[in-house]
Amino acid sequence: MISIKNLYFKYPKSDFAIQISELSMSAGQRLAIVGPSGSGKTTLLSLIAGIEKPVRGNLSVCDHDVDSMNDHQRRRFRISEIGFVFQRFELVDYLNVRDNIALPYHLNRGLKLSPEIRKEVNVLAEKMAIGDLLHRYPNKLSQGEKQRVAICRALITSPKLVLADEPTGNLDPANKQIILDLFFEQFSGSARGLVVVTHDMAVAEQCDRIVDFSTFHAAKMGASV
Amino acid sequence: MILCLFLAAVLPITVSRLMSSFEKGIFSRATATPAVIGAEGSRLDLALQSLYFNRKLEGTLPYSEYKRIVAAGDVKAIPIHVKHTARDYPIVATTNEYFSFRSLRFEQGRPFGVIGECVVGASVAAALQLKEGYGVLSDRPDLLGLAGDYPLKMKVVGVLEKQNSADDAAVFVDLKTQWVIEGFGHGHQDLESEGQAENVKRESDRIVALPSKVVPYTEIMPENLASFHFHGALDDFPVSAIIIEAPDVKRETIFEAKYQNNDRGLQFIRPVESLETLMSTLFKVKRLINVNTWLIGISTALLMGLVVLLSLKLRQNEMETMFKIGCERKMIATIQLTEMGIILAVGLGLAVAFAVLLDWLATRGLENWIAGQ
Repeated sequence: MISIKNLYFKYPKSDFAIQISELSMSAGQRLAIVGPSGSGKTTLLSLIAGIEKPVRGNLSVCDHDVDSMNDHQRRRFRISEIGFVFQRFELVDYLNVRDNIALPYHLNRGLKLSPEIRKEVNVLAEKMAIGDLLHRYPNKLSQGEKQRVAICRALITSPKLVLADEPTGNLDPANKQIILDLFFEQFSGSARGLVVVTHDMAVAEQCDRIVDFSTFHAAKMGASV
Repeated sequence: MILCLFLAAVLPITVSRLMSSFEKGIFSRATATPAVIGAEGSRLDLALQSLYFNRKLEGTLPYSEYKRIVAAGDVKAIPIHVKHTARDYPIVATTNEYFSFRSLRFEQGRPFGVIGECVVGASVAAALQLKEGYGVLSDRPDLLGLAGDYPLKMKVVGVLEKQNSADDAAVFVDLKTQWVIEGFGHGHQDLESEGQAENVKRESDRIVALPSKVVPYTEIMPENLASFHFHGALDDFPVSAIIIEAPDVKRETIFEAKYQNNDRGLQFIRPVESLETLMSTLFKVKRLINVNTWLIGISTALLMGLVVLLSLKLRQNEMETMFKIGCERKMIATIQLTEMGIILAVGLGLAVAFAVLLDWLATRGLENWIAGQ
C-alpha cells in the first residue's frame, strides 16, 4: 500500500528536511509513527497524502506514484484514496454535524452527494455513537464527540488509506479509550490501511507496526529511517 | 460588516438621490416656466410663488398689466394670483390657458367657466374626497374680523389627473372668483322678496337683524350669478404674477428689456436663474456631505479591510483543512470572495433600497418644505 525509497523532502526557505531511505506498509496494515515533536512525523503524513511533494525519491501510495504527480493529480488522488483525521478535529463551526461529515462531498466537484452517501452519513454516525447529534453544531459538542465527527468525515469517502495525526491528542483519558475502540473497530476485517502519528504508546500498541522517528535527528540534514 | 457597510453607504446614496430628485423636480418645473413678471421685491419669492403657490409676496401688479401684454400680442401671458386658501390648499386664480400651458389633463369634468367654479388638483380631491359637482369652502382669512368676511363656497367642475407636482395640491379658480373672495366683488342675498321673510327677524322698523338661519358663506349660484358685481375698476385689481412664454429668444429678450429699470415697480425674472441661488446653497451642503462621505468611506474601507484580513487569518486553519480534504485552492478562494461579495451586495443593496424608499417618501415633502422656506 505504501512504498518509500530514498525519499528526500525539504521545506522551501527552511533548514528542516527529512530523508527516508526505505519504508513500506501492506494493505490492511496499521502503522504507528512515534517520536519527539519536530522530528518530521506530520511532514511524512503530508507527503503520503500528497499535500507536499518530495524533492526527490520514490513514493508510491495505493498504487499511485505520488512523487511524479502534479498538484491537480495529487489533489484528486487525495480525494479518492485518503481520509485524514486531524489532531484538533478541524470541524467547520458554521456547519452542523451532518454537513461536517459530508464536507468532502460539498467541497469537491468530483464527488456527488447522492442519497446513498446521505444514508452512509447516518450509518457512520450510528457506528461512532453520534447518530442523535447530526443536527448539532460543533460549539455544542464535547471533545470526544468532535473527534468522532472528524473520524466519520475521514471515512465517508471510503478511502483505502486513513492518515491520523495525534487522534487522541486533545481527548481526556476517559474519552480516549472509547474513541480508540470505536476508531480501530472501523479497520478490523478490512483492507483499509491506517497510518497514525502519535505520542501515545497506548495508541501505538494497538497498531501492527511501530516506526520510531526518535532514532534520527530533526535537524539540518533531516531525519532518515 | 453588513451593518457597517450599510451605515457608511446609506447617507451619501440617500443624499445624492434626494438631491437629484429634487434638482430634477424643481428644475424641470422652473425650466417649464420661462419667465415671470411680478412686483419688485424678492426674486426668489416671486419664482417660488409662480411655481409652488405658497409664498407671501410683498406686492402685486395690476390686472391692467396683464391686459396690456395680451393686447401687444408678442408673448403668451398667464396670470397667477394666490392669496387665499381652501382647507389649507392654495387657491390659485388664473385663466384656463394655465391648464394647457402645464399640460394638465382632467380626470373628471372640465375647466371652470363662470365665477364660483373651481378645478381641484388630484391630491386635494383625494384628501377632501371631492368629485365633480361637490362644493369646497374657502378659508376665512381672519376669524376675528369685524367685517365678517364670509367664505366662498365654490363648485368643483373639474378634477385634474395626478401630476406629481405642485398643481396636485391647488384649487384653481377664475381671477374674478378670487377677487370675490378678497372682497372686491359680491352678490346680494334676497331677503326682501316673498318667501324670504322668515330669514329676516325685524326687531323694529329701523333695525333689521338676521337670524342664524342665514347661510354663513357666500355661494355663487345660477340664481344669484347676475347679482355679483365688482366695486372699482377691474384694471386695478391685483395679480400676484404673470407667467410669460415668448415664441423665441429674441422676443423674450426684447420683452425683458421693457422691464429693465422700469418706473412701474415691476420686475422680470427667469425662475431657473432665481432658483440657481437656492440650489447653490444646497450644492454646498451636498459637497460638505460628499467630503464627509469620503472620509467615512475611507475609514470604513480600512476597517473592513482589517476585519477581512483578521477573518482570513482566523480561518486559515479552516481553509487549510479544506485543502487537505481535497478542495481546490481556487474553490477556497471562490468561497472567500463569494462571502465578501455577499456582504458587499447585501450591505450596499440595503443602502440603495433604503435610499430609494426614502426618496419616494421624502422627495415631494422636501420640495414643498424648501419651497415653503
